[in-house]
Amino acid sequence: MQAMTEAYTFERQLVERCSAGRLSKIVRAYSHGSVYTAAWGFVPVSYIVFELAESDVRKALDLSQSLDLVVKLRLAHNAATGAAQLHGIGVAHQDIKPSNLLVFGSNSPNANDSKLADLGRASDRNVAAWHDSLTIAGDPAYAPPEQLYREAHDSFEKRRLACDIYQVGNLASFILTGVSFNARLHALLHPVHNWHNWQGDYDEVLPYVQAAHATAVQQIEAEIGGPLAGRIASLISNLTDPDIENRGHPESRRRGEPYAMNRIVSEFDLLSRRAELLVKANW
Amino acid sequence: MGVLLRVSEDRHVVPRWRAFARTLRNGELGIFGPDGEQSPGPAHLDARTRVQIEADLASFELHPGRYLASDLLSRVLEGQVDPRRAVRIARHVIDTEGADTSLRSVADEAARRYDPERSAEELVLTAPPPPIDPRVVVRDARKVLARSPRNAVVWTDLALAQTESGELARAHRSISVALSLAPRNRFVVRSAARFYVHVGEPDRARWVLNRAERWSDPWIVSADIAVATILGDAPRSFMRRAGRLLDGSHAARDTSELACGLASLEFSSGNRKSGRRLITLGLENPTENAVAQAEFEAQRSAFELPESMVEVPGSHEAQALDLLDRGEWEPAASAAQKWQADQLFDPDAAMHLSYLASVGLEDFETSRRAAQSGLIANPDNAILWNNAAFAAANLGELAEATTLLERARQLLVLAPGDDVSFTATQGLIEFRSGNIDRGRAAYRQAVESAQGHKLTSLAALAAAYWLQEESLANEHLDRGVIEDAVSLVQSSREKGAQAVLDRVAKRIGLTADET
Repeated sequence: MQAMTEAYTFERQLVERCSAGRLSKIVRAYSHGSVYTAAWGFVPVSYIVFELAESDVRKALDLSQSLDLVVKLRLAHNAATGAAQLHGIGVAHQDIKPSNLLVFGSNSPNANDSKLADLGRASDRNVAAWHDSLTIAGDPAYAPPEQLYREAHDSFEKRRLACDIYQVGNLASFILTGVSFNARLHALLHPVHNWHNWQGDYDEVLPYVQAAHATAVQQIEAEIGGPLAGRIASLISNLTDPDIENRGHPESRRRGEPYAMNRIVSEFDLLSRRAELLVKANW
Repeated sequence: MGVLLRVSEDRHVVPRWRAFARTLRNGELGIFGPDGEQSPGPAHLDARTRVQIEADLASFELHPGRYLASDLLSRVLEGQVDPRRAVRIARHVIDTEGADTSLRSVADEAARRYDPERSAEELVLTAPPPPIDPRVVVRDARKVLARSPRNAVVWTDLALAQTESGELARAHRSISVALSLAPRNRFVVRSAARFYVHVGEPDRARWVLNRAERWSDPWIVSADIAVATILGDAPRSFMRRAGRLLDGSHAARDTSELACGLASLEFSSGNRKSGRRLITLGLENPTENAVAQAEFEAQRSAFELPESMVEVPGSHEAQALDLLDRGEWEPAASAAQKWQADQLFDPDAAMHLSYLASVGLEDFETSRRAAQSGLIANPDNAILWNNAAFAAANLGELAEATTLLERARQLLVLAPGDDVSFTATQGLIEFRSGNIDRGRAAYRQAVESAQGHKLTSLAALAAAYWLQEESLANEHLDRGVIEDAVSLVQSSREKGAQAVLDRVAKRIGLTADET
């Protein structure tokens, strides 16, 4: 009970910070409180009321079979922007996945109506949370490979921010091709090298994961097709690099801020604008 | 004569070098422990995720969309969905027309793990993929490396393709990059060791293996023993330490090459009993390289291997050795062809095939092709130049044969047999050019030189070919030439010389008693 209360309090405080900071790509909370009902034996049940979304990105994509590349890139851009906004206030989301990208508006998603939700597994640089000690804080189905192979880094940047960057790339792969990067790694890695079977350390298996990663990126490029495919695939490749020393935007790395999100956000923005131009030109 | 198979006095379990995908299939890149894979057990999920998954599964029952299916399959692969429902989702995707390849392969992977109808399927494939043109591999690898320059596996595959294409300086650079990226990785380190042995730098191979500091990895230790033996530096204390890895704590597959490598050292030291015990251990679940080593030892130390051994998938070298020993030329050549396709850069495979095709089958086109193919990655191999010259002379291309033989002569002669072989090939070219006396003199010199160096097999082969050329050039043969050839062939165990003599005898009508 105490753990649940602590988790609730942590999430509520984070949500309040996000709302106070006007983070436009994080789902807003309207109110919170506790209720006492007979059904729960008059034990207080805490709640947070969030803005109402139409669906998450999976349903939106399933309902709109013919979503063009522009919209898909904008969805990925919104997710990257949400992560960047959180990083700006010293918070890492750690559970970025399709069910946590919510879409607003009753019709098919358009340019500005998707936001990241669920800060239940987020990490605050300055406030400890109960899940901070877990190797995989978020959903293992969308965790970065270093966590899946049980490698835990000490620094907030490597352990938390690099995780978010991976998950943005993982989500972009899902939105743009219908298959998450982790699912591709599952299908491409030989079973003995899969994280469920590997008994060695991450350094040893890394070359094999890198080989699977390169093949996955080639698949993504082929599946996206068209004039932007190479650049999109390269961006996803940088975001999902299994070696966290190489993850992130190359220019940010060169400038000594390897896990900065600003160039990643700009790159998704630029790509979606180019896709718009191509659509207008009837490519 | 002319064509030469260098009959090695020694063979070592130097690692094979294959592309990453093929090495994986061969079971060389696992981690030690229980054989086989494990599906993830039921995942421990928090209440919120459990509720979310239940809601998604219910939603999927009503509206089975592609994206929801894909998300659920990601969860299936993490063990977050119970197997019965996992199978339903996987089957739905597999049965959906128009499902794209990647999603289908994810569904296949899920089905392979959880679907009782599919779980018996082996992912580890039986047949290797068809060989790919090394130039195509180089082009593709460069494309991947432009995006992922720190991918050590692709650098290693690039080095292999460059080696196979004869671009040895570039291969040198590529393998160095791979090693700098992954200096302890088994695939990279074993491949690098094989490369350095190939280019005549076994000391560097040893350094690379030692730098990996993986003394409990039998695959690395086995390679280290092979290279140490080439360098003449494998003391008994070293063998004892390596032998401790055979205590049963590793899977038999992981220690097969180590056991056969240690067996060779025991045989070389005259410890037959210990050598036989190690061979038995190494053949429990062997790689084809271990089988080839066992076959080599069986022939060298005159004992029989179980017949089933040479049937181990991919055992082309072992089969080629075994079938040659039995004098079954055609299947031996067929096995050697597969051996060469598997190890395109390996001069032994090229020599073996060019020898079998020329001597056993008189298939000089195949022989020349084998030698020329081997020369791409081994441009300084005098024997291969000689074998190509021999095949060209037999095909009537005498000017070409002379040029090829000239190339052979310009290279460093490694063993007395090489020079004997060149002289004999010169004899062949002279005979075919109509210079009978000069041909005769060259063959005589070759036979005498071989005898002088106590190379009985070579002397027999040279004498048999001399007799063949005499029989083609003269209607009436000198009885002395026949008797000399027969005597030399009979006193050797050279199967090729016997085959040549049998063919000549048949043509000129010699009786069995006379041969």
